[in-house]
Amino acid sequence: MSSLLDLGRRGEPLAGLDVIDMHGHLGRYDFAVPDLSPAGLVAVMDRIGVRTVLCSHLSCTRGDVHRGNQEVLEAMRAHPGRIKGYVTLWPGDREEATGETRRRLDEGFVGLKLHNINAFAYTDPAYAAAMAMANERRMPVLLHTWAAEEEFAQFRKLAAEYPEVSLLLAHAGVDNPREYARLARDFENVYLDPCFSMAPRGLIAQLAEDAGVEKLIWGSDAIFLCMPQQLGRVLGADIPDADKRKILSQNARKLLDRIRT
Amino acid sequence: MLQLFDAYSGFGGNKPAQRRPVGADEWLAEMSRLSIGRALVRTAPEELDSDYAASNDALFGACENRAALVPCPILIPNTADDAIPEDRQVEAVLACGAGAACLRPKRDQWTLSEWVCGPLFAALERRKLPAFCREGEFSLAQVAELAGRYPRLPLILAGVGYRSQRVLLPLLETFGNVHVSIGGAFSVHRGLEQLVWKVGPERVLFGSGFPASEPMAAVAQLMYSEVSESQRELIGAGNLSRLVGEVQR
Repeated sequence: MSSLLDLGRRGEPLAGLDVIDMHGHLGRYDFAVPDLSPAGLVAVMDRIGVRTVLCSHLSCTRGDVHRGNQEVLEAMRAHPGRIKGYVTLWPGDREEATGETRRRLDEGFVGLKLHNINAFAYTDPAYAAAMAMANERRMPVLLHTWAAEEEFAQFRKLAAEYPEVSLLLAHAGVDNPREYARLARDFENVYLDPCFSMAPRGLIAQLAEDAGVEKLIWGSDAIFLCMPQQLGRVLGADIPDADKRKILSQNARKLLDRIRT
Repeated sequence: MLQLFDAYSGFGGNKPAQRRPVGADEWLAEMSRLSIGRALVRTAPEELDSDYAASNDALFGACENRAALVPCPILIPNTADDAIPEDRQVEAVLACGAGAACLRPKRDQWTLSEWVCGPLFAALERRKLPAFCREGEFSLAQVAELAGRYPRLPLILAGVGYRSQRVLLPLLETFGNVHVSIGGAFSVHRGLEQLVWKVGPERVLFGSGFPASEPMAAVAQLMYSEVSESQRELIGAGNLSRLVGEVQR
């Protein structure tokens, strides 16, 4: 049993690993989550040994993003270094989206999280100024994805247009894993976040082989999903411990270290 | 090391675009890698599993000399005289060491009406042979209806998704014969803990969702959960061992 797998099997924290969760959430959604509190999320991180989670607010799915971003800011201030913030946006008004992005980045948010449940493309003009700001600051931009053909075309356009952005594709491999891997190979700034409730067996190893392990980052999707369960997918993957360390920590650390503040 | 008895695993089944089924030895190797001591096993995946009898024969053959594997064969109502009577089905699978019965009303084309499956559930209840019910084959409302109709029959609910907590909790609180396995898409933030806090640890089971799911996902979910060590032991192996031990053989 590898050392990381052994730690997980015993339920011991991954101490000293600098685990970074690049896909977290705060806020309420339509199904029941037993504990919505940022403190509850940090308590789970403590049990596992996760140092930092980058969170966006689930209000991005319904439009009141100002309220959601404010709640994330309060969580960042309550848990400095443990919770970092992604700005979420609604593309209703270009000026409003631009202003919200500028204000939140100035407050210390470290990237953007966009969701296409609103049926707007990620290439929508209302996002352009925000994407440009992220590009200028070399920030990560996390995109909800579900392997739709039109999404892949958008990712290619964004990756080319904003080369300094670290474009993180959430739920990578939910379907068509080879296309996700192709994107990660084709674009230096595209990274894959394979969080997915079903925990498909073998997906992490497949993406690591097809895309290159340096292009995988770990996201749990907590509190939308269960952080320890999503961690177990990496711990159990049929890849060397050195690669698990890259996915859980080192790859994300590089992305965070290159941010211009 | 915490003992684990997996309630939600299988092998041998086929699905579209799968070149070869996962075999018993592949699962045993995985169990060994993760220190999972025993597993209740059924034929999985089920998408192309259209001959329950052939699947049961293969399952019993695979389990015969592999002591860590406890078979969970498929049972069906004998309403069309294409099987053997339900009570004899139960006796036959018990003789082969069955630890539970896998029920697949959708896959095997039957319904949960009393006039269709009454004799089958009555036979299971007499022997206290747990009925394995996977969400997808059963809605939670159907599980509740069965639990009320057969109060002495243990039901093992598996494959529950992460969006079901609002229904799952009252189901467990209302029906003391319903048990739930984690694993697969049961990816609920602090959800395992909430099950334990609200209904106790006795009816929560460890399960991995193998072969569809990476089994370490559920192992980590259990091992990092905020429950006491005695609760973890019950969930890990104790509860399923008790259920299998209470079968009237």
